[in-house]
Amino acid sequence: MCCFFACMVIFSGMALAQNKHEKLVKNYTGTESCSMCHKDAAKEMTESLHYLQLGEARFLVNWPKDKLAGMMDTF
Amino acid sequence: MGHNWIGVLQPKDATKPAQPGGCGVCHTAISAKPSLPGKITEADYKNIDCLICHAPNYRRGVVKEGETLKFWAPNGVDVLKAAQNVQKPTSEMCLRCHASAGGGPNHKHGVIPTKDSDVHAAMGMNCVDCHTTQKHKIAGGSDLKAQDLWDVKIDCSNCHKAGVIHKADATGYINKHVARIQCQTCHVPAAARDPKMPTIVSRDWTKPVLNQQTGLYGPTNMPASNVKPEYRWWNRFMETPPEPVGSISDQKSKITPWKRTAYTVIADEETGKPVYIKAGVYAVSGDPGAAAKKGAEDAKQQYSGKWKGVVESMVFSMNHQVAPKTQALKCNACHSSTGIMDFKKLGYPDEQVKSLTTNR
Repeated sequence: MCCFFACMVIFSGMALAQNKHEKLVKNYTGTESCSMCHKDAAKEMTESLHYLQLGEARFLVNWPKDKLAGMMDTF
Repeated sequence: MGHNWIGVLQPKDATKPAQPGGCGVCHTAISAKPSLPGKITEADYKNIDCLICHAPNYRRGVVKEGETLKFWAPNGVDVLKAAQNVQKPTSEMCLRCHASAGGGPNHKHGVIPTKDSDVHAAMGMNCVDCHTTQKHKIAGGSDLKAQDLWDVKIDCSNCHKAGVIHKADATGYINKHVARIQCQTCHVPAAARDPKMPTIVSRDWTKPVLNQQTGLYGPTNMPASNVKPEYRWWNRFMETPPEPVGSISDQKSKITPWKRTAYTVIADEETGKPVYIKAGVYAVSGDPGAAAKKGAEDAKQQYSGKWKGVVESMVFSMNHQVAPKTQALKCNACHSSTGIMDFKKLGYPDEQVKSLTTNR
């Protein structure tokens, strides 16, 4: 029974989260549609490897010390 | 290899539709190439495609807005509905880019996790369950050139704790292996174990092949399934060109499986050095020489104008497609005179090789 109520809470929470965005997002124009509410998210993302594609290469042993490495040179 | 960042590729066969092109297709920017680290501007804050990582059933193409090209939902994708359904990234969202990294499904590492090939995917686990996140930074494996979260180590032992693993082995022998052998060595016995999703073991850029469906050219790929790994010592550092660093005498090194792929790349005939080819020119024309000429021009690279093929190789870590324990390597897979492990090459002295290759 406890599991049943736990599931109800979890699933209603998930539904609520989806409904929340359905109610809040009436027009999508790009990043700013999200960052209106998620104030720090865009800045965080611009500091991430998934955006920059470049970063320090601390695990490369024969790489020039201050040269950034990334995902752009591949075969 | 040089790429376009964003572009539209119109096949020579005008009956084929134009297709989105460029590396940016799979990166999180909406339009412009990201600024360099430390030089981020306000424009970058508006250049994030939140939906590519957070929206289910979303995909994007290249659309023209005035004179600018941008990555955006093409006709047939309801971008508003996608935005209204955002959620924590699922594997479907991660794999929409990562599954086809390297030009096709499962081409690079050969261990894309699917329900048919990976025990964790079969359980319904998502990528971010292991690749934990902090403020949009994602923990990755250390064979990557760069990392988001240096202090977070992705490791099987984050969940599978010592003292709990291999409980069925009353002798304790299996657990003795853990100090010098990665879990993946036994539990990821091959790449591309699912025959529906082969990987590639070689790629030849000197031999363009026309894709009849898309009308675009690509290199000649050699697909293969059930690809046996190369076993090497690895201490979590890499060399470039990519080779694992480690040795039998380095106590931080463990025997680790790698998938090796041979690439014949376009090089300057005079110097033998690889040339930055322009991938879009190659895709449309199928002409390696034209792609090299344009690529070298764009990259301001010295190039004689004459090219030849040069073979380079690359190793890829094998951290996914974890097999059910019934399919993990058994003792005699390595410990036999015909075993898969080349103990001599790994640096074991002859006397020890003799002992290690005796059946258990």
